[in-house]
Amino acid sequence: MKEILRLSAPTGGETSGDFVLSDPNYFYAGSEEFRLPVGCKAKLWSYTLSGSPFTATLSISLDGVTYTEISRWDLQSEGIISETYEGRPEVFLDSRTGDERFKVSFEQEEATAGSRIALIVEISDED
Amino acid sequence: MSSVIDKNGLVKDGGYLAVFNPVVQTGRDPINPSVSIRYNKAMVFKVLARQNTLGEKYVRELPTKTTTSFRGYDGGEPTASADGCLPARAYTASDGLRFELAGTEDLYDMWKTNKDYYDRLFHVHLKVSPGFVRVGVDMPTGANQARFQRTRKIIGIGTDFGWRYGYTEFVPFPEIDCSYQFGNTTNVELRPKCEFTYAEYVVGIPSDPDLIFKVLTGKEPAHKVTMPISIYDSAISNGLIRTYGTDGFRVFPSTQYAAAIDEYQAVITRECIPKVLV
Repeated sequence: MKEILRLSAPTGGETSGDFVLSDPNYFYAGSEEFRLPVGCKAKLWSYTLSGSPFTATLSISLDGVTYTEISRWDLQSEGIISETYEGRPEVFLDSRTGDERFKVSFEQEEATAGSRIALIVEISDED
Repeated sequence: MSSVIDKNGLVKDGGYLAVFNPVVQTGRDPINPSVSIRYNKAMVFKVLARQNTLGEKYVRELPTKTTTSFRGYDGGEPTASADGCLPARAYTASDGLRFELAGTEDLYDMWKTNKDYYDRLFHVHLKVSPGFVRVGVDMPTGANQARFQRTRKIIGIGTDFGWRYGYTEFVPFPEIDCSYQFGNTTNVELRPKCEFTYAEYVVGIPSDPDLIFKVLTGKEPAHKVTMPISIYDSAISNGLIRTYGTDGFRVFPSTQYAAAIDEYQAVITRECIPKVLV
């Protein structure tokens, strides 16, 4: 089983916070974190940051309580940055208990919801 | 891939389908009747033709309503926010879901027919997106048959294992109710898509015992589907007998040709309803 989620969200109207990630195809509503189904891996295929400057931080939790930062991306000036892991998506979380989850946070100078993040994440129980 | 199925996993015209009953039964050894042996049974069908081969897809949302009952992985009874949704951390209630379709024989279950459909058999592949939705089939309706260590431990979509992610293959027989279980362990409410790839076979039970033997011993290519059961509920055997006159053919070792032929001939002549034979 493998499924591609197209997660996206605007920055909130604060200078920092967690993205409320949503996939319009499959999610009824967005969420500040995504809990992995047990036995699945989360693989990052690409990320895109656009709009005004902001910093995005990808964090994971193995126990559902404590988060660890594993990646940080900076949009340093107005515009867009994007990176795609061509054919070699990065496994950033591997579920053993079903408690594992991830979230993406933002920091920005202006408290406006003018920027956006988009992630392509594969959820898979295969290698 | 077996040559009897096409790229969609459906049996081609003229092919054979064996539906294996995994529940071991006990009975007399036909060679040495004083000895009790364990055996399995299987239904064997010849696919004479397939109906509507150019359009064997049906896509729809999950058949949930805001009033549908769910069980929570963390307790409680979650509810869906809208029709078609599967709440976060929830799985379907014990009676599961069925796929309603207007104009069908059973308005509550598009895959359910009755014994008048003895010459028809559905073969269904169900793919659910997103693929991390847990899927299970209950036969008969409401009977979770997922077990571990014989029947000691009950497993299934509400437990740690005993389910599949996003896909199942099943053969719903006439006269036997089935229900479908779905589970979402993520923390987000999902809007799953259900994609059926199905065949409506025109079928018959082969009247040649030699052919039955070849199919069940693997000498004649056939597609095999295993019933999703651990306990042989009487609703299943009764439904098969009402429709076909028999609940299947004993699976013999390939070395017991003569005994198998004798028994298959007896099943064909004494049990099977003549109109189901081809």
